[in-house]
Amino acid sequence: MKDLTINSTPQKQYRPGTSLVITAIASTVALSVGFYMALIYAPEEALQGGAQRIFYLHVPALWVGALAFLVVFISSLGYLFSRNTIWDIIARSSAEMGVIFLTLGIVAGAIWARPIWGIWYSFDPRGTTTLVLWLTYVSYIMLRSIVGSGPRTSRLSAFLGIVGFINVPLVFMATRWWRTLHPAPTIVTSDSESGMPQEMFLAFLVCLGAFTIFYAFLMIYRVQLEQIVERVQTARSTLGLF
Amino acid sequence: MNNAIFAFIAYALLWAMLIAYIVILAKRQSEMRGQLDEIEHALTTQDTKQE
Repeated sequence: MKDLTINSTPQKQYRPGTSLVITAIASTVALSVGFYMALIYAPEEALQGGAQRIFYLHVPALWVGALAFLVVFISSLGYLFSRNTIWDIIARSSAEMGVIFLTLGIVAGAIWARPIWGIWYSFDPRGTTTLVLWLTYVSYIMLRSIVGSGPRTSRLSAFLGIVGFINVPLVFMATRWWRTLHPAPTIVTSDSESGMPQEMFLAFLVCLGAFTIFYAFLMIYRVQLEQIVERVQTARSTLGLF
Repeated sequence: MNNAIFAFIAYALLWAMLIAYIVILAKRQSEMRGQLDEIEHALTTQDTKQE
C-alpha cells in the first residue's frame, strides 16, 4: 500500500499524547486554583480596589508572551543550524501563542489603566516597547501567511524570530532604565525580596505557574496540528493533488 | 464605576479569547484529520482496484 508515503517524512516526528492529556488536566486544575486565589484568596489592595486583581492576569500573560518568544528565538536558531522542520513548526506555533498572550496582557493592562491612570494606554517606555514587540511578531505571522510555506519562508522567519527577540530584554528593563508611568518592580525588588504581602505573592506565583502550564498545553496541541497539516500536504503532493 | 467591574471585564475577556482560540484549533485539527482520512481512504481504494 502507498500510504507509507504519508508517514515517511524523513524528519524526526514529535508525538504528543500522554503529555497533551497531562498538561490539559494540569492546566485546568492550576488555572482554577489560580483564579480562585486571584479573585478570592488574595486581599484587596487598599488604593486600587478590585482593579488590582487584573495584575494576576496581566503579568502572567505578558510573562508567557516573553517565554513564547524565547522559544521562537531558540527554535529559530535550531532551524538555521539543523534545517530540521520540527524547529520551524515549534517556532511558528510559539509565535502565535506569544502574540495571543501578549495581546491578552496588553488588553488586560489597558482595562487596568483606565480606572487607575484615567487613560486606556500610555506610550511610556514599557508600553511602547511592548507594542513594538507585538507588532514584530504580528509581522512574523503575516510574513508566514503571505509568503506561504517552504524552506525560504522558514529561513526568513527564523531570522525575524531571532532579531525580534532583541526587544524582549528591553521590555523587561524598561521600568528600570527609563522614567515610566508603569509601577516600579514590586514582584522582586532590588534587595531580592517581594514588595507584596505574602498572600498576594502566593496568588501571583500560582497564576504564573498556571499560565505557563497552559502555554505548554496549547503548544503541544498546536504542534500536533501543524504536524497533521504537514502530513496532509506531503500526502497531497505525493498524490499530485496540488 | 466600581473598580471590580474592570477586573471582571478583564477576566471575562481572557476566557472568551482563550476558549475561542481552542475552538478554532480544534476545528482546524478535525478538518485536517478528515482530509488525512480521505487521502488514506483514496489510497486504499486505489490499491484494492490495482490488485
